[in-house]
Amino acid sequence: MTNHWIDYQHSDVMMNIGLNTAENHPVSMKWIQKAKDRGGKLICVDPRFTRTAAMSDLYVPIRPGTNLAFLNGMIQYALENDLVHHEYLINYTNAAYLVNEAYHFEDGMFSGARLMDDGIGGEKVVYDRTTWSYQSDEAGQVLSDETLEDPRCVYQLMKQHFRRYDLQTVSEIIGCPLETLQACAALFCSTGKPEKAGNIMYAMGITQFTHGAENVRAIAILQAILGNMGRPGGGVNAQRGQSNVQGSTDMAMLYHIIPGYMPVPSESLHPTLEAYHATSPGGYWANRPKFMNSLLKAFWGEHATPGNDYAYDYLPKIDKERSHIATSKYMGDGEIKGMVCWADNPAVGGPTAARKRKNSAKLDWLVSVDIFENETATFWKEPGVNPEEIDTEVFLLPAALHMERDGSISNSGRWIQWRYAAGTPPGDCHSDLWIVDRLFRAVRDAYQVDGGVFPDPILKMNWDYGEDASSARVAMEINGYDTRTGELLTSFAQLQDDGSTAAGCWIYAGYYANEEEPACQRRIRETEGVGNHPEWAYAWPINRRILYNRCSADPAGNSWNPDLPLFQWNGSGWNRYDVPDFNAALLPEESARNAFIMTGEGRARLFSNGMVEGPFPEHYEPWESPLANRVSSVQFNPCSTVWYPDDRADYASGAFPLVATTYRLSEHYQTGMMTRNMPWLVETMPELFVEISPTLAADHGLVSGDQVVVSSQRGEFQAPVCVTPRVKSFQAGGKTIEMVGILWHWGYAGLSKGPVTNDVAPSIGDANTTIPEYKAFLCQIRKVV
Amino acid sequence: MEVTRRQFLKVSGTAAAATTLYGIGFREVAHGTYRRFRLHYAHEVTTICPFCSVGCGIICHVREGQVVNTEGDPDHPINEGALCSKGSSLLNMAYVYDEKGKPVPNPSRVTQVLYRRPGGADWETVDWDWALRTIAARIKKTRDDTFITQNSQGVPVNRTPAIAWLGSAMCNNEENYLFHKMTRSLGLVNIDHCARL
Amino acid sequence: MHPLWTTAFQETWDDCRRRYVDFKPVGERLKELHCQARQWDQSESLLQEDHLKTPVIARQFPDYFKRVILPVFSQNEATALALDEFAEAMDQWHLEDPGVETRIPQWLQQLQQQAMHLCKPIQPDFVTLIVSLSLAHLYRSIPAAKPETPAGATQSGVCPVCGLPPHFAALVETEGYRQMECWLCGEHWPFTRLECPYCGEHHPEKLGYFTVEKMEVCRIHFCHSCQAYLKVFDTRSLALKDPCLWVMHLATLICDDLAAAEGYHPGSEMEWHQWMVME
Repeated sequence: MTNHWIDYQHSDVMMNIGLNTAENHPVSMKWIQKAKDRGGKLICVDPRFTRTAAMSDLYVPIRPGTNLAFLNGMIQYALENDLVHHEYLINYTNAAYLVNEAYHFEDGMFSGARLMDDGIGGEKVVYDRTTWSYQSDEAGQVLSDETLEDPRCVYQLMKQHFRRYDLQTVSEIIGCPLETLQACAALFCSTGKPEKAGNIMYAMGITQFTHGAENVRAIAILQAILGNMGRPGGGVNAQRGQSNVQGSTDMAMLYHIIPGYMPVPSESLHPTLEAYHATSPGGYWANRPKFMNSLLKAFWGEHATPGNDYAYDYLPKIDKERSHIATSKYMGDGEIKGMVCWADNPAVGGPTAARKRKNSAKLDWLVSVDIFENETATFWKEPGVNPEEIDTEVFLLPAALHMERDGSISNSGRWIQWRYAAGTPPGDCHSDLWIVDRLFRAVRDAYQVDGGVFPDPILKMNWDYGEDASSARVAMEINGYDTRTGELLTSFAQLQDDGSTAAGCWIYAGYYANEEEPACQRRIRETEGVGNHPEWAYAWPINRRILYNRCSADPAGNSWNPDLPLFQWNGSGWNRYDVPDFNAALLPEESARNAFIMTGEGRARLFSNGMVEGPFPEHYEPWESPLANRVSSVQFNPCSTVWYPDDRADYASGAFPLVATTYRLSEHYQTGMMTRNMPWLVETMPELFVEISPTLAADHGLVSGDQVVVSSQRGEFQAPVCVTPRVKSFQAGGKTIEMVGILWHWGYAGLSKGPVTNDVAPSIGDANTTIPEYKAFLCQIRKVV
Repeated sequence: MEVTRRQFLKVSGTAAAATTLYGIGFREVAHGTYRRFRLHYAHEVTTICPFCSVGCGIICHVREGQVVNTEGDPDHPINEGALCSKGSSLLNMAYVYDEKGKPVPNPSRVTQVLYRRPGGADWETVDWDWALRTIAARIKKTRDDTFITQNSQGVPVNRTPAIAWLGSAMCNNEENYLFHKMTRSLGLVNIDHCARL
Repeated sequence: MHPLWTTAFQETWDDCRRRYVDFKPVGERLKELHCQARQWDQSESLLQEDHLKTPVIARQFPDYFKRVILPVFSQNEATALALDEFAEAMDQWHLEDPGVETRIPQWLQQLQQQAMHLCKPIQPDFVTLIVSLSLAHLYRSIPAAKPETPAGATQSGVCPVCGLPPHFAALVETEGYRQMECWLCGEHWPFTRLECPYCGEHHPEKLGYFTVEKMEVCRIHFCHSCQAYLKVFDTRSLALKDPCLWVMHLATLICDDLAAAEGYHPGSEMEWHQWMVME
């Protein structure tokens, strides 16, 4: 999140899109309610009338997979009706910048499109982004027109691009009545007024598509033109799904990054450390060499020296995509021999899950670490499987519960909070810290004793956290320290590239800077302020609670909303309620020129070369869709890799005429591995079910409780059906499109068992991130008699 | 205070006893009374809910190393003591109630190191030492068999494509950091977890 | 109506009688005290002074002692004798007019010391009862006695009105906020759950509590840094709209004894415990 949970209370208009706060982040509704108590309005955009919709002031139905059309429609409405925040636009975004004359867009494709090998025997569009750039003078200064009239300025190009998304067209694409759309647009775009703050909260209902990242991009653009970023009550607020997915992402348990969102070294782009540093982006990222070298020092300590490029080559270099979907394919191809599945359950949570389970049999060995038996670790005894035919060795290591171990976790608002160990782990259970520490030491011992292939990165790794690994010691390494004195650092501004500092994760610097009273353990509530509680725990970076907060005031330093001055220039300094995300030593007009310090421009990028599909978001239909793309002839995201072409259903065949989407219950959690072993929760929601509209039920002669088989091109499962008016058909593209709502918390392990519904979901993902398109695909239902 | 606090009082009907609260019938005290009262010590420890990312504060009541109760932390600025159905049920992860209503350890918990041999139809129980050594041996063998030091252009790549690691959004920052260190030290590149799902 | 004997007091009194067998004699004594005190209320014209009230309380105290405490607690000869001596002694020693500047805690300390020093037969827990109950009454029945809550009061380990450290607190509302209550003036103020109000210790391993079987509503929260304890009543499970902590405290005096036996001392500096012979 750019903001945080408590900050919601300051929103004038909130848009929940692609998420169901009341269901899945229930306690945070408290802060939405506080906003409503002040007169704030809640808009809920969702294919279904959810618990959040029931609390909203305006419900906007939307056909699954058409969020981008909707969001682009909102942008169009703001531009068309001049509801944008002008001063913010000109000063804090690149709206005035002039774009390369060679850039163009036509019929769903941008300039620079090239059809290239996708690495798995097919082809996809990979753009040459050279034309997605600015015009500049001989000195290299970017040209701009602050009147916003030059036809090549970003603003005019936006008007041109988004013109096609008039609300009438959008209404026909997304299947929502025009009046509702107009009411929504008018309400949300009213936050373009300088003193108003609009908030967009989102989650998987935006991201789990082949164009998911572009959905978030569109939200960012909308918020930027309305002047809603960097201020209380505003922001682009992702409500993440797990208690520490923020932390696990910060610590980069993802193939493409290393801790602190630095790219993993690539064999083609970064063959040497020098090449790595040369690709440092602009803005504050120009300091990346300091972050990287400090990380290498943290990893390999005294063995990382200027002479060996800080042991840069000890880090493995990536060759190709190795995302979850990709790795599953490599597993199926027999490339992957061993897997460690640490508190993760892809056998239920992954797309086309049955294939995943089948591919697990190709592993020589599998290690699962968990608190209950999960489906991934027990794929060899799934009902219907013959264990004798599966040679995989499986280890299931017993882990401690969260309340049986200490350490910090980071919530969606970037608050890093310490947890203390309450109970003692029973039996042979141990904390995950103990397990990974012992496992690494066991591997290191094996290499020490037997030698082996290139053991250096293992033997020389800086790894000593005590006989029984201490979270505090690890925390201090992550925090960063001076390698000469051992003194803990308070800020990443202290990091150097000369080996004098070490830091495991630069954005966390400061969270454990004081060994006696670490910042992340603080429990001091504010007595006055705006709800930031700056002394409760520690937020990264450097305890900033609201990111981009220079944008909360105009270039002269006056808060846009005088009643809520996050920052207010008083003539000689700033009155403040947050840590500045800008250089506060400069005069306001100067710091206003670099309001977004992480970008090279110092501005929000309405036009950007950062996404693979294009500088502006463009609507494409999901991979499997009942309708042709209305806004161009490009049916779906041309940049997404198609991993399994045969997996795709053809709507025209009529075999799969319904649109499926997946979602969650409040009482269960993810793959259900935890909650399906907790009797109280099982009692509240004992069984899987699917939801359909009364009209679809009538078509099939179904009533609530009847058993149905839900099938897709990839698989099928059986479940009882819940007939509910919360689900309605969509009138879109001249057709009536019915939807099937699928829950996915069940599996064959645990106290409460059920089929794995993700067997039907497609293994195709976003073009930027490869997050699977769980939220819109085709299916069919048939009554079981 | 200059009070003679440390003076023990003999409770035996003396004049002194008459001027205590006991003496005026204001409290019941008798010989050996002390022993008929059983004390239960506990302490409170804070944690954060392991489910969604709101990060609600929880107070755990711990008695002799066992969590006996959990409740929302009223001082936490985000949840202010409130919890949803999952957060309210945390105790149920560790304990369930038997037919007599007594808390017993949740029988679904995995509390032993389990091993499934090739072709096996069920788990066997093993010990940690064996498991760690064996897993280390598997990792080492797979890594050594498939390690690539240089690519075809002579660029040092130092990776093994044959091992995958998934996890974990359920683990602490410190744990995840060590996962990252370990996987990179081994040369792993197939690293991912449910954040991408 | 006795300022302590409110509806809340009555309801809590009934509840404690049902819940704790040992409360019966205490309950009876409290009832007598209430009747006696009511008579004193009716016979006195209570002063309506505006300025700081310690001098006012100081002047009322000897008369209150003779007219309310003496008759109620002179159960037997020995006690009556001791209390008479106390009354005489009070006539002799001059309860120093504290003047407007003296704060309540200091004056209280003076009173306790003189009482203990001059009247040895009366034991600490009895003195505590006399002094605290009568002051609590006086303080609350003289309307002008209680200053206003200072504006902008923040979390504090002592009463924001009279500066005394609390002896008891409650966990209130479904969320379980900790609410301190001043035994003297009745002021409520919030205090965080996991911190010692007396020394500020907040590391979880230094703090804890114990409960006594069959009295689980009362928790003795202790701190291993300063060895002080605070009585915290978890009133959430009670069917009382507005539990009166004074009554609950008197119904659970055994907990103060046990706290002392376990090595803790009251953070309020009000000695409620009775030392018992340990065999």
